Amino acid sequence: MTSLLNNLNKELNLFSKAGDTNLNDILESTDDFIKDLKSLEKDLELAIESEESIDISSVGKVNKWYDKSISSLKSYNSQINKFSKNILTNPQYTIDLDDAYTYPLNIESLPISLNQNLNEEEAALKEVKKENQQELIKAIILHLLKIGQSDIIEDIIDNKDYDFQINSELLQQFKFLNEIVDDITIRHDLTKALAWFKHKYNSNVLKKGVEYEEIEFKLHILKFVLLLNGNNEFSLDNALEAYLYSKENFPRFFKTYLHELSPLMSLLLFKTIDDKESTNPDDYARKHMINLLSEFYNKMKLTFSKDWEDNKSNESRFVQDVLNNFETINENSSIFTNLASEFISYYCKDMKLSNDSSLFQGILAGFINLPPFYKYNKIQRKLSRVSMSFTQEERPNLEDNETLSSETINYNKIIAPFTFDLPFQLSDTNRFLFEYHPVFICPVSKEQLIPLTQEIEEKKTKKPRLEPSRPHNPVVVLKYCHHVALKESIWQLSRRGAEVFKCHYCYKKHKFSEVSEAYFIDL
Amino acid sequence: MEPSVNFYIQSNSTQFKVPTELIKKNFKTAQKLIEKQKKQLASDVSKIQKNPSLPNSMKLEMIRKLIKSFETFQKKLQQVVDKDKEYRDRLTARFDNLNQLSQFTIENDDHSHDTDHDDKILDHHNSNLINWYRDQANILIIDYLIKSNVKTEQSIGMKLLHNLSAVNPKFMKLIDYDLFENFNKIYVSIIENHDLSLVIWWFEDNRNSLKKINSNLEFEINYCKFLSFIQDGKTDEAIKFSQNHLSKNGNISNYSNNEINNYYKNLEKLKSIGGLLVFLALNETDNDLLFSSSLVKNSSRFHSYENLLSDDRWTNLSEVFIENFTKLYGISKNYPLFIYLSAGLSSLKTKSCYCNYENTIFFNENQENLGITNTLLDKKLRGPNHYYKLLNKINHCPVCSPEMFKLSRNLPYAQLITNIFNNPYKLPNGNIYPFDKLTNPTDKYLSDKDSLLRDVKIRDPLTREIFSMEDCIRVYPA
Repeated sequence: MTSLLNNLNKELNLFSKAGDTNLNDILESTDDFIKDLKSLEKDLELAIESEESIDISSVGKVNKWYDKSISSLKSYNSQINKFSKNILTNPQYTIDLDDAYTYPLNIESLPISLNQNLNEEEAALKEVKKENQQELIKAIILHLLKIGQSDIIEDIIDNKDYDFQINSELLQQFKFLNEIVDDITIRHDLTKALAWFKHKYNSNVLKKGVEYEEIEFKLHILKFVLLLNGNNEFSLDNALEAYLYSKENFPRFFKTYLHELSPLMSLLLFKTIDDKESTNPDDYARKHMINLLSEFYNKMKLTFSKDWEDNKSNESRFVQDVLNNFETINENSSIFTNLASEFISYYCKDMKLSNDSSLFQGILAGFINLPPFYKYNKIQRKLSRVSMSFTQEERPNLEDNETLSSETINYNKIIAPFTFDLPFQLSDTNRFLFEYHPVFICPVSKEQLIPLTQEIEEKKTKKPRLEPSRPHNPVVVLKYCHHVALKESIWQLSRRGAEVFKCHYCYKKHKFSEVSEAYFIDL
Repeated sequence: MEPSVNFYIQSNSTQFKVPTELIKKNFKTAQKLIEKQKKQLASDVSKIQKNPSLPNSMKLEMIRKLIKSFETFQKKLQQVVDKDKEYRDRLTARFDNLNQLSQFTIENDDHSHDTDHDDKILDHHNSNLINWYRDQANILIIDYLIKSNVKTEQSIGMKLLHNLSAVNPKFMKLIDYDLFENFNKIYVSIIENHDLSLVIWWFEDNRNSLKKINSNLEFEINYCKFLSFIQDGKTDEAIKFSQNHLSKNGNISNYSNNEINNYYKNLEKLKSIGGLLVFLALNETDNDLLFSSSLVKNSSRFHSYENLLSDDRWTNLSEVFIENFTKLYGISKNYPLFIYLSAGLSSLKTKSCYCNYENTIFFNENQENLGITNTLLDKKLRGPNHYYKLLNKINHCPVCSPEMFKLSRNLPYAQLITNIFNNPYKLPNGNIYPFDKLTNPTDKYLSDKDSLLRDVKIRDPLTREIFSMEDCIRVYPA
């Protein structure tokens, strides 16, 4: 825990406790007062019966009730204020998220906005915003499908405001995925998921092999544990079933996962013994045995965690999680949710779609990279003392010496030119999560390679292009040293092809004619 | 700057602010309830005490009345207490949620660079952290769906929230859905239905807290109402209304020092009200023949009055409402989803990204069918937009998905460093492939690889050309 967390925890505890005690005090004193009134009522009833006179001045206790209530309120109030002061208005705890919105998306920030009198440029921008809003909804639909929530999207699609069509075959497949995911996460039933693999193997769509081994292994492990311990009680029948299951399904994983499998198989062993004891109840012996067993079981868990320290494979981590939660496997929803999202990624791959929700990945990158955006914006604001408008000003001009027509500026607001780079470099530590394209930065010009993405035949549609036009500046390989740079840089190095130049790395001499264009292609 | 536990706590301060505000408000309800109960009881009790000679039966009746009233009070009080508990549970749940981050940190090494010693850097190699982010992302999406909902019948955001809570009940406590739903309803009532009743109710309900943040909402509501009277031709009512509700805003002594900006803004608006009446008179007479009135009708001033009576006033009021609402609860003005998404997409956008229509389930009219038979040698096919498809490879890049690609059109490109696959190997035709995968193809059409390898030859998986290995070279991009 960091001290911020610690302090937050402390303040919250005080807050919560104050709420509980003080409000309870009020309730109690109210209750007491009602009790008093009721006893008075009873006395009166008796007095009426016996026709005696009675003093009911004790009803005046109402002030006592009131004073107590108000003092409780006061004491709670002061705790609320303390929390506000120590946490909510404490600058240590507050970052204004709006300050991190350095590059606003072209999308409406309000639920609805009315069509006001717009000039042509604003109208075009508005059109894009409208389009983008629909793209966001599409992205959310895909996201929901990919997290197994296909039933909700019907409601979105029904909305007449949207204008798009979904491939119904893929949608159908997603509905099936939804069933599998619900089975895993809600009912903790893995049958359909495992059957899907079997089906895919039988129809020869997937080859049994390394690619799917990991997820299948995890599914089988969990299934095994569920069989053994599914309803939180161990019986010989359960153990037998689990054993038969393991006999049938585990052998093909021995080669890769023996280390992970062995502790699981030993589980089978104790539980069986435990069960035998319970059928012949001899309390003392049974207790003794259970103690021995749990001790052994804990030792095994420990050994495994130790091993795990050295071998941080995903599968080992999973087995460790399962072991740690063995007794309460059904209460640990995260094991099932995580496994479900892993399964989804394989399922999507099979549908030829990317394995994760693009929306989620975009947000994830945001979670990870937000700090520099926030910091940058803060500094910029301090420097310029001008809020909000600087992002526009800062947009680079396409060509510095040319004055830009308003049309180009407008266009740049919709489609950023290739020269529009983030003004700061992001930390590379977490880049491994997002390596999708081979990226080449020219060692000479420091420019990023822009691969060609031309269409085979340029279409005649008048629709606005989605991309800025791409300059022809491919990668070239130097003939003698095989170093790589961008063609434009080499063109400059060789004084427009006129002179012999030295390689930027090894100083080997080359002529411009001794370089050849090349293309990075990932397999 | 690395993502850390502290940064995450700081950027989520709203999560604690909103329930606390709700608690404060609920607290005031409790206070009022108690005061009211006390007042009523005091009078009842004094009645009893003043008349000690009352017959017992009447005394009994009065006591029973007291009990009844107190029991109703108790029920109401219990509701308030339950609410308080619910809000406090939200705070605790949010702390527990953030506290989970403590499990996903990197143990501080000696080189704890620019972060303070106390902070902890998050370990993104931990898949449990990534799964934790999945929940947070879903919360952002629900937040967006609820706040941006314009349908009255059903809220998709709420439905999603309920669905996700079925698996993980903590979701209900991590988002202030009730408040946001309410916010959304009021906003929609203003801008869609041109109905002021909800925003008036909200204003009354939060009058004191709004005063503390120098809100000008009351004036804006009244101003809007006045314009509505004018628009409906109810001039008499408009004048009466402005006398009762607007004219006081023209008096500087009705403003505190902090509200002085409001005064000047409001004064401007009030000044034009008189002219508006003239405008109205002109508009009502169809007498276009009068030269003077047609002159006025073409003046710019006249058009600005027209604007006053257009739908702009509803937009204006809704904006003021949003400003007040977000300020009161410390909520960000932009949807948090947009903020994270914009940073995320900017940090992922490479110059190799292209609009990949393969990776979606939506039909697109731009979708092309490319004939690939005779053009395999075409250099254009070496662009990522073609080669993924030809090689039967899935492009997992989120920015390339058509939806995200369009959303990120206006965003800057990330500054990156060279990152090429291992062992880049160039064939004579210029194609550079990862060597290991080149010699171990998984695809069926390369089933002749063994015989090729025996001849020290290799086939380009894209162009299907066969080359002698001798002519292929290892290249050095960095």
